Amino acid sequence: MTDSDSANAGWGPLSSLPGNPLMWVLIGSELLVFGAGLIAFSAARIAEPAVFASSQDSLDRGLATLNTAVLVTSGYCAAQAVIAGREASTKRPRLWLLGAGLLGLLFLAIKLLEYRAKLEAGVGLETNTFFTLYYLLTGFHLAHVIFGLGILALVAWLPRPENLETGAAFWHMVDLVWVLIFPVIYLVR
Amino acid sequence: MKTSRHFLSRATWAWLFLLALTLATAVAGLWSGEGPGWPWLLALGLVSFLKARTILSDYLDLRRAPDWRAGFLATTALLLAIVYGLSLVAGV
Repeated sequence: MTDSDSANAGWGPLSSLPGNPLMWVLIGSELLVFGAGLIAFSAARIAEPAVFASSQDSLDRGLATLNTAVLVTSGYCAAQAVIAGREASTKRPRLWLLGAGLLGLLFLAIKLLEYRAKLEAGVGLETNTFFTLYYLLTGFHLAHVIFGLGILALVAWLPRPENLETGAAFWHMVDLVWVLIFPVIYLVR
Repeated sequence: MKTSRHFLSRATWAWLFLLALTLATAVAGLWSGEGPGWPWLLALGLVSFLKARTILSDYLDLRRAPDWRAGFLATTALLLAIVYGLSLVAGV
């Protein structure tokens, strides 16, 4: 039994979940919210397939692939921080969290470069339906990345096992949502 | 310690698996040309599900809660079926 298992006693059916059960309520909610966004995106594609195809071709798939690799590697660092935190050390989890945070910042920087290139080309939120939904979905995800970076910083400050597990869970949710968004926006054609 | 080493190994394999799937999808996307159609959609949907399953099971450690794991996987599968089904209707 881990620390979080014993800490979750009394949460009923949620008590078997790793980390804080409230974080799992958030993860489930976010999955549904982003899922609804992806369904809206795919439904809008039915009305304007040619616009979606040409708009998607103007995206930088290489940069988005690189960003996916960056984010899953950041998630790996967060998973390692949780493992390191079970061994009564604060230095190693902090180092892994630093790695996760730096890679998260790299994801943020790459995404901002992508936005800048689009905006300099005159492609904005109101260009067409594809780009409206592109900016909304990726922008909302980016807001979660920024919030997640703050959570990673807080957890690095207080790297107790239950904090590590809960903070990493949020970061993995960000990762999970991105691996669902990435192919739908950049690769489905 | 033994448990930690096992989990370390699983997390590392999960990471490598996720990277391999990401790279394979990108290469296939460059190679597949115009209008790859339903086989491409099916492949993307399956790869997305495998990635989501890996993150849920190994990063989020839902292996410790098999019932919840099944619920999250079922929800993800349903979501992907709707999204890729709509893409198929769009004539992608």
